[in-house]
Amino acid sequence: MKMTYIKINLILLLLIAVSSLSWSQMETPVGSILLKGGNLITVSGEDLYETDLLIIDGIITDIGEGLSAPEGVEIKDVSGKYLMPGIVDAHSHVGLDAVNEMTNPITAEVRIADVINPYDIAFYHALAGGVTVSHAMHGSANVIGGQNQTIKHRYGHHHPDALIMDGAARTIKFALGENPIRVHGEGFTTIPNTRMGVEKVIRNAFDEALEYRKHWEKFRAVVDAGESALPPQYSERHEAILGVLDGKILIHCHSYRSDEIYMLMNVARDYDIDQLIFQHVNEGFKVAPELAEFGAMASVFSDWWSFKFEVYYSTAYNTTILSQNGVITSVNSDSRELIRHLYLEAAKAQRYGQLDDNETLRLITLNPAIQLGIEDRVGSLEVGKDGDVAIFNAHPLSIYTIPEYTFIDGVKYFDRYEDPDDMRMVIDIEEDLNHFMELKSGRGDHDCLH
Amino acid sequence: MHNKINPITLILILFFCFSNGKIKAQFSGDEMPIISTDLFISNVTMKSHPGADYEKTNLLIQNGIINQIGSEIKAPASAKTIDGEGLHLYSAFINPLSHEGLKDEEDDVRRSAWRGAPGTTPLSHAGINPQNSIIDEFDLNSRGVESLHKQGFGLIHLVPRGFVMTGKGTFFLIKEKEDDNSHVLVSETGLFAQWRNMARVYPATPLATMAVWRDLINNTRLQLEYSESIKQSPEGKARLNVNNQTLALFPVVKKEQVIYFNVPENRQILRAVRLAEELDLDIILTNVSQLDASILSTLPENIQFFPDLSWPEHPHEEKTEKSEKVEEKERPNRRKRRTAEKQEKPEEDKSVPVGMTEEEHKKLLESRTKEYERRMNLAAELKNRNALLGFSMLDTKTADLLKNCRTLLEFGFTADEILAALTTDVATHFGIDAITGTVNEGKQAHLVLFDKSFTEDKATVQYMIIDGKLFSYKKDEK
Repeated sequence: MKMTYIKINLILLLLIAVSSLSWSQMETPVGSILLKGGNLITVSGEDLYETDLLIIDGIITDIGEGLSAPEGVEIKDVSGKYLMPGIVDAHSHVGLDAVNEMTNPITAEVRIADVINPYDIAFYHALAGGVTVSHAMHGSANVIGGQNQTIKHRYGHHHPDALIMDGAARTIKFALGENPIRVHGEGFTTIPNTRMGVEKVIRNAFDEALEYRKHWEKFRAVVDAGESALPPQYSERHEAILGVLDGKILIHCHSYRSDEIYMLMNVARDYDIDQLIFQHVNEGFKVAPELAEFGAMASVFSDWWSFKFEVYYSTAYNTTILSQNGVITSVNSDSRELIRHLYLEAAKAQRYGQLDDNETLRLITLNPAIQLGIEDRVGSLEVGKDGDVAIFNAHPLSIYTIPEYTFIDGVKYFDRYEDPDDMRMVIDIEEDLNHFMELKSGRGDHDCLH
Repeated sequence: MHNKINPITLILILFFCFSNGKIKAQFSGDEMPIISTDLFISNVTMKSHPGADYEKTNLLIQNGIINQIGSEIKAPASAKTIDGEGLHLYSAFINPLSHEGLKDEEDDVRRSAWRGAPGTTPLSHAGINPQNSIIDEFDLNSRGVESLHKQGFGLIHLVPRGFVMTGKGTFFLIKEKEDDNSHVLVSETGLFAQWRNMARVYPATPLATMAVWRDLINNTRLQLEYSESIKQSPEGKARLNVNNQTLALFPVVKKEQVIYFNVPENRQILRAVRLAEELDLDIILTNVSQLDASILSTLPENIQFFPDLSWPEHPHEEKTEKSEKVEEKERPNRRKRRTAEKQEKPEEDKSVPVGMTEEEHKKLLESRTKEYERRMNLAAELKNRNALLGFSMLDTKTADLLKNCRTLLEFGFTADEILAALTTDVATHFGIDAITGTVNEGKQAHLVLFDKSFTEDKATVQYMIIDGKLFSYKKDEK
């Protein structure tokens, strides 16, 4: 009896450990380099011209004029160039073997960290656009999708775990509106078939998870008292949703319409969830004060709309309106093509809304870092932060700018002047030579549904 | 006194003389009882185990057992004799992983398609069937048996076809099915699993497959512990209803059975290893063809492999002095991948493809050749790490098995090492080394006789002996 009691408790501990696993801490390379004489766009503070930036073992250790490099540290002259924090893309599906487990409206149990594909050439393309970090997300087919994973674009490593950004906040994908309705209601004739159903799915999921917790608490009480009881069913799905309810997993919710955005804030209040990050949010401008009051954040397209009915009522001023109402806003790509020039996407907020340079660049640096819970690590050029730096030949918001170098943890991952034609990591021996394209190296944009 | 034989007596005598013993038998149908199953092989060149020298000797097989080995032994009168002069004898080869003869699962998929919402799919409909057994499904016909025998194989570990968890493997002797199941050597070996999903049912992607594994194993563990507590003291405990799937997973969770994971590629390997580490399972990585050195170095030290025996085609090479020399010898054996569509391959186009410069073309061929060599040297690398158990033959055509084994001679293997991968190593892994894998007195008589050393090109099987039963493939004996 005693042995069984001990064994059951060990199993319970193992289950708790597994369900709250934050990903494996693989050792990844770190570099040291002195970048001399560049124009630093720190984002968190003033721009610093003709200033040096020192990275030692992957961390920014000094910013100033006339810095010297310790022995053995490479010195790179970047005078005349513009240095900014590595760009952070808060919504991406680059580098994934699967995007949508679209067979159930709730799949909170699935983890994007399990399906990272480090061979996707789009990582290299993103590095060529100065993007060092992305939020690899589950698609928007399900009301409650899977757990996302923040990754660094350490292209060149074969092990998927080498791309995991250790210590990043746990996040989960939710999706409202037409996508889950179409996939499940119309496609499989299951709930949700309307926006009412979408809300119900979320509330049901939360209620069932809380009920599940009660069963387990009762079971643990019996076991702790030294008695034996039939164990309840263990569920990865309910464990993940409890993580959401406990505030351990942040909701990143795909949404377009103002009514559904407002709906989710009301649901969150009912369940004491105080952090929400909305994705796309095309009608966010209609509920900007409400979003700000809740403390919700928004990650938006610069100017995509009209590709389906729920996205008709949109404006290119959305980014600016949200920002100026106090909503922490980022601009994302949700595209393996747009990720290559996110700096130009952000710049559209200057054309539509006249955000200043700093506010504009925050849209693709510090703001998405805050939304991903990694602002203490990246998003600005500050001493103590990771040595993630993107270097341009002109100001990043200039239409003439060209990204030249991209560093992650002080290691150079992109160099425009050492850019071999074939950067694929794996060679398919039997691929037809006349189809010399990356046929199998990445997934298309349509997989995530938008 | 009359010396007259009673007619009735005469009739009875004549009947016994010409009845051929039919009156005695408890045998079925028209079957003639076998007078003797003894086999005597004379003057055969035998390699008893990998590493042993070839020796000329005689063997006596009785009741399916190798009874005597020695150059002095004589054939009993009852024995059928085989002239082994010029023949090479080995322990029959063991195919450690195959689907040979098992029916395609597509029919099963169509028949049992789930009509409800995909998220409500019962696991059995989604290809999660750890309880499946193939003992009754085994159906190698005589042609199938012959084609395997002619490659030197006398034993086979079959695993079920299917999707995520296909069921348990079974070890068979390669002969036609017997009603008494005497062709079954080990009824349940381990669980076979792979990263293959059915469309439109949960789990449809590796995402959900990982979650299903976690749920299933965690719940199995809970139920196992509870059921053991009931065995210890059942009083006052609610009854536990364990379904067949969970029951089939009990030995897996207890690590009494391993999981043979079909993982051709890097990322599939890593997912399997992740599950094994998280859920404390024993896994063997099978059918591996892509494994980067940087990933191999992160795997647990004691992890073992059955890499894929099917080889890619050699990339087209530019004519160089080196490649000309290779052609002068004999080109390495090549084979198309089993998954490639069967179509007439156009003659190799040596011109540079559209949009590519000559320099780029040359670089591409170099990188392909490097990748080819890496692929071909993978097995030797695993061998040197003591991680090689044998070879997966899941994706290798039967007709190519021996040829592909011989190719290993060019990629870091000696003949003895190949033999070990076909006999002793596999037998030890499956726990049947006490009865087969080497040619020793007392072991079961599963033997193969080639007309020359099996590693020589064009060596062919002349005889196969399974359970002491002789199968002849000698041309002039047909």
